Amino acid sequence: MSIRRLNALILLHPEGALVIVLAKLFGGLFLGWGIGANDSANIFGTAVATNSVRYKTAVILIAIFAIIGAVVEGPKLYPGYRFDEGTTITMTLAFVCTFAAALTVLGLTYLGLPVSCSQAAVGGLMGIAILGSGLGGANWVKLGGWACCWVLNPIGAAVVAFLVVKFVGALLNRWVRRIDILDRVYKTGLLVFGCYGAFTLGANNVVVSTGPFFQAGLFGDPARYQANHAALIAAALGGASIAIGALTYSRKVMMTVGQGITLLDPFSALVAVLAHSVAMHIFTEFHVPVSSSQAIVGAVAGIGLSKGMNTMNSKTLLTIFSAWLLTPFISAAISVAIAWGMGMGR
Amino acid sequence: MFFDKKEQQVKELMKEHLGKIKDCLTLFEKTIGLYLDGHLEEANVSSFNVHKKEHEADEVRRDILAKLSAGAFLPFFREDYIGIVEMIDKIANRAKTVTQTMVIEAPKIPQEMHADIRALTSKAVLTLDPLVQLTEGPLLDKPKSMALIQEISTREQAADAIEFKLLKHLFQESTITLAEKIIIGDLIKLISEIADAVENVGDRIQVLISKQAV
Repeated sequence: MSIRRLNALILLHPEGALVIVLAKLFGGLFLGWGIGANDSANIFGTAVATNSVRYKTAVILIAIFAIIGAVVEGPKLYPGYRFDEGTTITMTLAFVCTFAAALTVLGLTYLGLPVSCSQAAVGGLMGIAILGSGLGGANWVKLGGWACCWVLNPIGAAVVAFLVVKFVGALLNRWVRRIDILDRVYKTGLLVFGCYGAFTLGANNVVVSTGPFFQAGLFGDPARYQANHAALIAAALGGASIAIGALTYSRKVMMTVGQGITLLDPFSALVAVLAHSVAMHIFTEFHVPVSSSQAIVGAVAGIGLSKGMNTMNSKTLLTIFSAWLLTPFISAAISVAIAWGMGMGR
Repeated sequence: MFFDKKEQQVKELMKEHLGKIKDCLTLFEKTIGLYLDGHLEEANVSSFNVHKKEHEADEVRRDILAKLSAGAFLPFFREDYIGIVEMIDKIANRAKTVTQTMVIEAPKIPQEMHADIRALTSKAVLTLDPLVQLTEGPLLDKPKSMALIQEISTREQAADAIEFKLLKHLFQESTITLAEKIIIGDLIKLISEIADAVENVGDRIQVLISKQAV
């Protein structure tokens, strides 16, 4: 797909001129930007906060690998990113669901409540499915399956972290006996696993930014996505929005989150990023967008368990549960409310 | 590899730093010998050379700290490297203090104590050798490092034993004035503190080594 064809697709889109199309796309790109700005901290937060990796290096690597992840693995999530099969998702509906998700993220963040961009986006999507097909027509079984994946995401990350600490830790203890070599192993690992983390973030989360617009046909007929590369274009655009979020607004979150978890030694920090990324990658293969923040929390808990420490307190658990329950439902409700306000679904 | 350039530089500078400290201690031992032999003028010149060597070591220490501050080693290890370098530098500071005190206060040390003071000086200087081996590489593997730390401790104990013997003789058997006893006693303690300073570095390295366990 050439740039000229992409321009033509957007300019000639039946729903309006370029400015209107871009305005409608804004909600999705804002979500992508939010993912880049917030979730970069999960990947390079510890390394940057402890001056192990420069902020500039970290965000450039995140931007590059998030785009690569989005383009290479991301497109496979696009065809299944909807909860109703019968109705047509229009550009306006796509805008409504991404805008509702963006509002949810903004509102819950403002209130200091935990929020997951991907879960908010899925909630918004569910909202328009309910609006289009009614409560009975929406695919609740699929949503239930995705919710199971959300629960399994931190648990999976915890299991991976636990196993890596036990087995790789034992190997490192046996083989690496010099501080300077260990230092080199950690430094290399922070960069390599950080890049892998950015790759999986782009791969798994890109769909929430431009997925509804793909379904609305903005990038070509979604039914012919393999021929017209619609999913690839949507993923490239979403990946770019994640990259811009990392490049423009991730420093503050990165320092806050990073300094909050600097008590982790370098090995634990490495394992946390690796386990987070493996979990994200697994759910990418299942075509389910999951939360990067919940994966990292699960990974840290797994590390704690492997070392006989309890890193999970009731507040953390409450945080995760409220994110699982609150975010998608609030987003779905806002999505329905906006659509009703705009005169749709009456 | 391209990303361990700073660490390599720190490694080289630490070797250079310890070389300066070793030179400083060699001059320190020479100064004590000259003083005890009654060559006060030469001891004075040698004391100044100790001071110069200590200053050179200080310059290298600053370079190491600059490299560490610029990001050599992960912060998890960097803090310990900074502590180790600072503590190594204190060895030369102590040597400078001893020789300066000796040539300024010029105490009349009873002849029967000369041999033990030479022995104490020698033992204190000898504690540095295992430390030099320990920091080469910049750190050897764990079992070898632990053996060298133990060796430092053994040598420090040998210096302590001579210090105890000297102080006991000084305050219980010597017939010199109390003022002279206090001055000479302080000098003996200062010489012994060099071995203590080396042992402290060994202990700090042990903390760093313990961080190897994941």
